[in-house]
Amino acid sequence: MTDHHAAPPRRSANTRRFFNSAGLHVVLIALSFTLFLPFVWMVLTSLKSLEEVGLESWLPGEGGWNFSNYIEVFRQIPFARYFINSIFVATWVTLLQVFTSSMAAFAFARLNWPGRDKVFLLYLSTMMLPGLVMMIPNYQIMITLGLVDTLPGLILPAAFSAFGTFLLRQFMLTIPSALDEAAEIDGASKWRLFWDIILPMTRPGLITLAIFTFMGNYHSFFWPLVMLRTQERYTLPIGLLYFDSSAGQETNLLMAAVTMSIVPLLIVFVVLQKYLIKGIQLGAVKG
Amino acid sequence: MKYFFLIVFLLLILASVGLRLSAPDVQSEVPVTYWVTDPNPARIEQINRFHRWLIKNGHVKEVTVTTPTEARQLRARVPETLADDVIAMQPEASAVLGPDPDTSKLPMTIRLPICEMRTDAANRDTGKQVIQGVSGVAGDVMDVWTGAGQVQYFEAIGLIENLTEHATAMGFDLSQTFPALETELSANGEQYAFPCNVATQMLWVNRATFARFGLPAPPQQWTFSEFESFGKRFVDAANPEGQRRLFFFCNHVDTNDMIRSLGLSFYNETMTRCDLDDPRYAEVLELKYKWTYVDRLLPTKADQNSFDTASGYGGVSAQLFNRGNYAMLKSGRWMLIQLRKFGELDLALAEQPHGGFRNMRIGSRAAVVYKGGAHRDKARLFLAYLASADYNHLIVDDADALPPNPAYVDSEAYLKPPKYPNEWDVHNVFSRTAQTIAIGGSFSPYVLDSIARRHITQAEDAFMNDKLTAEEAGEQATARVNAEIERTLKENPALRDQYEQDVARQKKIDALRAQGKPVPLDWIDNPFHRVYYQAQGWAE
Amino acid sequence: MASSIKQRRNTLTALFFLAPNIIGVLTFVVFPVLFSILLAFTNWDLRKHNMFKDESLEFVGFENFVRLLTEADFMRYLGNTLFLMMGIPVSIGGALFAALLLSKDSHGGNRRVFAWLATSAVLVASCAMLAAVGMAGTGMVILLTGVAAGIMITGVFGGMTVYRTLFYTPHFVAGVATFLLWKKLYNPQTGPINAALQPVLDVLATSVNAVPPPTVYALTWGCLGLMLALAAWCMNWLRAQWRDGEIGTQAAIVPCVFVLLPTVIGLLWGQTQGLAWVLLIGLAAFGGWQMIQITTRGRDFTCPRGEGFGSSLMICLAVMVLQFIALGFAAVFLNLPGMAADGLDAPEWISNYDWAKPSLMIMGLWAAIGSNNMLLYLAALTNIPPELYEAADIDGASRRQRFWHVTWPQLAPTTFFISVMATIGGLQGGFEMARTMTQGGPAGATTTLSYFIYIEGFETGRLSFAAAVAWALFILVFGLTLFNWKFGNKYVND
Repeated sequence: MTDHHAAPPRRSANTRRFFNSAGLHVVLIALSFTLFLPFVWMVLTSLKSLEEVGLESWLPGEGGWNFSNYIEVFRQIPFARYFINSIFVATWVTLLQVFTSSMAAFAFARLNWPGRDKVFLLYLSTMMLPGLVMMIPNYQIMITLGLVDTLPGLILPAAFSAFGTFLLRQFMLTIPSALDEAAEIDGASKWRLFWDIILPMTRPGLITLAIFTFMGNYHSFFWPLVMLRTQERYTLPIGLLYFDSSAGQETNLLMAAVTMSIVPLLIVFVVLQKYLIKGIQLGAVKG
Repeated sequence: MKYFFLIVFLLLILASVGLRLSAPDVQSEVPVTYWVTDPNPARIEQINRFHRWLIKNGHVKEVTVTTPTEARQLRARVPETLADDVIAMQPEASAVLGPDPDTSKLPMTIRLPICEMRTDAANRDTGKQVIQGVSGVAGDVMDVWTGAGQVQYFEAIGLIENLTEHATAMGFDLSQTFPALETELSANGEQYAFPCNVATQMLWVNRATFARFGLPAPPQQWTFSEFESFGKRFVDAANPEGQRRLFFFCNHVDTNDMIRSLGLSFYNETMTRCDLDDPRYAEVLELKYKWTYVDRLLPTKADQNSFDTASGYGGVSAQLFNRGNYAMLKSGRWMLIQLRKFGELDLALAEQPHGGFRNMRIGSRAAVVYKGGAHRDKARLFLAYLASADYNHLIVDDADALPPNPAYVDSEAYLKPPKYPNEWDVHNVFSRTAQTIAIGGSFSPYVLDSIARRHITQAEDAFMNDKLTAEEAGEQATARVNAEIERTLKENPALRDQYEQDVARQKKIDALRAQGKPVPLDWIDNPFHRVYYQAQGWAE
Repeated sequence: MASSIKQRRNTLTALFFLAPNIIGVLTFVVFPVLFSILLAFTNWDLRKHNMFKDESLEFVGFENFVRLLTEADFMRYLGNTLFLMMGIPVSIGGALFAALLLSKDSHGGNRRVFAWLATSAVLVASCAMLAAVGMAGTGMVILLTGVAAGIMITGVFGGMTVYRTLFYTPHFVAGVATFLLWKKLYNPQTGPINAALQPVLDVLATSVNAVPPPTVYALTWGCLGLMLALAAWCMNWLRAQWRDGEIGTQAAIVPCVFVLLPTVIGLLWGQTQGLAWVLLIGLAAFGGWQMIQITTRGRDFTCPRGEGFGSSLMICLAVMVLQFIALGFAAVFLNLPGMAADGLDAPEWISNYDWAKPSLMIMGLWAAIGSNNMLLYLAALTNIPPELYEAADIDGASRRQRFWHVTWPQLAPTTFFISVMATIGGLQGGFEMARTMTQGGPAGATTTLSYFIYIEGFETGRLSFAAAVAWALFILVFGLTLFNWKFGNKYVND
C-alpha cells in the first residue's frame, strides 16, 4: 500500500505500525510464555530420573537426561496399543459426529418446519443431564447390544450428541439467507443446497467441531474406564493412570507418557488450523 | 475438503478390519481365571507357585498326547509361562511343551493344572468393580482391602460368595490366619475372604537420624506425653531457628489407634450407635492438632499428601525417611522392599504412642470370590493355596507384609533373614505385635464403613482447618453417622428387629457397667471392646 | 392447502436430515435420560437391586428430592459448584481477548527489522547469562530465558500459527492429564509453583518485617483510595457519556450498582472494619457530587433510554473487578504485618481448605484462555464479512464502536453457544477433577455436585438418590439456559 504523504508523516506512521506490531508481539509472547510453562515443566520432568523428580531445579542434574524413560513407558504398559486404540476411536467418533451433526444442524438452521425451535431446545436439554447418571442405563444397553468391552461400544455413544448439532447450527446461522433464496430460485434441491453451498461455507465450523470432538474424545476417561475390561483395548487416559496409582508414583514416566500422547493432537491441530483460519492472509480482519 | 473426509473414512474402514483381524484369539487348553490385583511384579511368582501347587496336589487335567500333531496342537494352546510351570513339576513334559520338542518320547500324559491364573491389574477401581460386577462381569478372584470395609460392602451388594463351608473343607478357614482378622474377613458371621497378606503398621525408626542429632533412639512403647516430649527434643535439635521446618519427628499417627488406646471406639459395644461425641475423642483431636501445628512434630495434611505413604511399595516417603527428614515412618513390613534399596539402614521399630491401652490396627489385602464367575471352584482353590505353605514361604522371603498364616511367622527364615542382618530386631516385633496387641476393625452392620469414615474424616478435616472446635467435630461426626444408621434401617426394614434387640442389649451392658459388674463376653459385638473389656477385667 | 403440503414436505426433508443424528441420540442419550428420571422416583440401590439379589423396586415418589433439599451437604456442594463457576465469565473474556489478539494481522511494516533486533538481543542476553553461570548457577534462569527467546524467535518468524499452537497447548494436555500435571505442579513440597513462590515470599516477609507497620497501613489507605477513585472515575465517565448523549438514562444508572458493590462489601467485610468510615464518607461525597452535577448541568444531547447498555455494563463490570482487586490488596496489606511476623509460607493449594477452590479456578483459567472457546471465536471472527468493517469505517466509527456494533453482534451466536456450553459444563463439571486431584477436597471443599453424584451413586450404591441430584442439577441448568436463550436470541435474530 503506497503512502502519498510527505516523508515525516510516513515515518511516524511506520513507526507507529512498528510499535503496534511489536507491542502485539510482546503481549503474545508474554501470554504464550505463561501458558506454555507448565508444558515445559512437564517435558523436562519426563527426562529426569525418579529420585530427582521432587527436586527444585527443573533441569535434570546428576541423574542425567533419561531419554530412556520414553522407552520405559512402552515396557511398563502396552503403550503403542493404547495409542492406536485412542486414535482409532477418536477418528471414528469425529467422522460420525461431523457428518451427522452437520445434517441435523442444517435442519435446525436452514429448514423451516413446525416446532423447530422447541425441538431444538429439547435437543439441547439432552446435553444438560450429568453423564454419570446415564452410565448404568447406557451400560445395560451395551450389554443388550453385546458391545461391552469392545471399541465400537466406545464409539457409538460418543458419536451422537447434541453438541455438534448446536455448534454447527450457530455457525450456519451466520450465513446470509440470501444464498438460500438464490438457490431456491435456481431450483436446487435441499440436499444440493446443503452439500454444495452451505457445507463449504461452514468449513471453519466443521474444522472446529472436528478438532473439538477429536480432542475431547481422545481425553475421554470415565466411560472407557467403565466399558473396557481387557487391557488390550484400553485407551490412553486409562493407561496414564497406571503411573499415578498407589502402586507407585513414577512422575517422570507419567510425564513421558503424557508428552507422547500429545503428538497426534499436535499433528491434527497444526494440519487443520490452516483450513480454520481462512482469510487471515487477506488481511481481512481488523479491530 | 470433501475428499479429505472421504479418504479418512476409507482409512478407518481399513483400520477397523485390521484391528479386528489382529485381535489375539488363542484357544487355551485350560480355562483362564483372572485375579484382579495390583501390578506388583511379585504376583508373577505367586501365580507360578499356584500352578505348581495345583499340580502337586492333584488338581490336574491329564492330557494324553500320542501323535506329533496332537503334541504340536497342545503346544500351541499352552502359553509359555504355564508351560514352564508344568515342566518344573514334570520334567519329561519338556519333550512336548519345551523349546525343543522331541517326538520320540510319545505317547505321554501331560499333567496340566486345571486352570491358568492371570493377573488383571487394569480393573481394580472400586467403582468400576461395582458397576461391572452387578452387571455380571468381574474377575474370578478379586483383591480387597479389608481395613476399608470392602468385604462388608461387596457382601452387601451381593457380589461375593460365602466361603464358610468351603473354607472348612478345603483348609482356609479363619483358624488358619490371625485371630484378630476375624471381623475383617467376615460379614454377618460368615467368612467371605482369606488374606493374601496381613498388614500392621508401626513406626519405623531410623536410628542414624537420631544419632546424628545426639539423641537416643525412642523406646518401643510410649505414652502420648512421652511421645510429645521426645518429639519436641528431636525437632528442636534438628531444625535450626528461624528457618522452615525440614525435619519432622514422624510422618503420621493414626487417630483411630489413639482413640482406642483411651478405651473409645467409633461405635458402642453393640455397634448400634456412633460414640464419638465423647471428650476422649476431642482430646485426641486436640493432641493431633497440637502435634501438627504447634509443636510441628508431624507434617500437615498437605505435606502428607505430597508424600504417598498410604499403601503399595513406592513413594517419596521412603526417600525422606532415608535422608532423615522423617525420623520415623509409619508403615508396614512391606516398606522393607523400598528400604532395602538404600543399603543397610539402622532400623528399629516403635509402637504408636498410646493413652493407656496399647493397641494396633490390623488389616489385610484379602482375596474374595466373585459370585457371578464361571470358575468359582477354581477360585476357591486359589484361596486354599493362600493358606498353604508354598505361598506363605514366598511372602516371608519377599518381606511383603506378614504372611496370612501366623504359623510361619515364627520361623527362622522369617525372623532372621540371612541377607539382612540389620533387620533382625525388626521382624519379631512385627510378628509379636500382630499376634498380641493387634485388633481388627469395627464394622457396624447398620452403616456402610465407607460412609461412616467419610463423615468422620470430614469432621476431622474441618477441625484441623479451624472450621470447628474439637467438640463440635465429634458431635457433627456422631450426628451424621447416627443419621446414616437411621437411613439404613429405613431402607432395610428387615434389620429393624435385630437393631431393637441390640439396643436392648446395649442398655443392659450400660447398666452393668454403671454398677461395676462384669459383662458377659458374648454380649459384646465390637471386636475392640471384646479385647478391651477382657484386658480391663470387666468381662466374664 | 398448498401450504400444508409444503409444510409436510418441509417436515419430511427435515426428518431426512435429522435422522442419522437423532436415531443415535434417541438410543444413547434420550433413553438413558428417561430411564434415569424414572429412577429418581424409586428406591433403586445397587446393593439391593442387581442380578444377585432379588428385591423388588419400589416407587417412593418425591422422597429422594425431599431428602435432597434437607441434606445440609447438598447446599454446600451446590455452593462449591457455583463458586467454581464464577470464573466462567473471566474465562470467556480471556478466550475472546486471545482470539482477538490472534486474529490480528501480524504483518507489521518492519517485521524483518524487528525480528533481527530481537534475535540479536536474545543472543547477547544469553551470552551474558552463560557468562554469569559460574556465579549464580541457576539453570532455571537460563532455562526460562531460553524458552522465552525460543518463543520470541519462532513467533516472530512463524507468525500467528506458532502463537496459536502455543496458546492451544494447555488444551492438548486436557482431561486426566491436566489434572495429574497440575496435581504435581501444586505439590507444596516438590512442585515448581511453591518452589518459585517461596523465595519471593521469604523476601517479602523480611522486607515487611523491616518496614514499620504504619508504612504498610499507608498502602492499605492507598488501595482503598484507589478503589474509591475508580468508582468516582467510572461514575464521572458515565455521567459524561450520558451528557453527550452516547448512552441512555437506563444505561447510565443501572450499571452503577456494580460500581458501588465493592464499596458496600468493603463496608460490611470484617477484614477492613476500622476503615469503614473512610469508605462511607467517600461514597457519600461522590454520590453527592454526581447528583449536584446532574441537576445543575443536565444533558447536552439525548438518546434512547437503553442505548449503549451493553458497553456501559462491560465497563462497569471491569471497573468492579478492578475495585475488588484493590479491596483485596487493601485487606492483605492490613493483615500483612501480622502474617509476616512468623515468616510467610507458600500456600498449600489443593490441600488447604481455603485455597482449594481458588487453586482449581486458577487451573481452569489457564486451561480456558487457549481453549476451545478461543478457537471458536477465531473461527467466528474470520467469518465476519469485511464489508461490514468497511461500512463502519466509512461511517467514521471509533475502534470501540467498531467492536461493539460490528464485531460483538456478529459474534453473538458464538457467544451464546459458548455461554450455554460453559454453564452446562460448569454445573456438570468437576467430577474428574475431584476424582483425580482432590477426592473431594479437604473436608468437602472441592466436592461439586457431579462428584457428589458419583459418591452417592457408585461408592454407596444409592443410584436413585444420585439420579435425583442429577435431575435437580438439570433443572438448574435448563433454567439458566432458558435465560441465556431469551437474552441471546434477541441478538441472534437481528
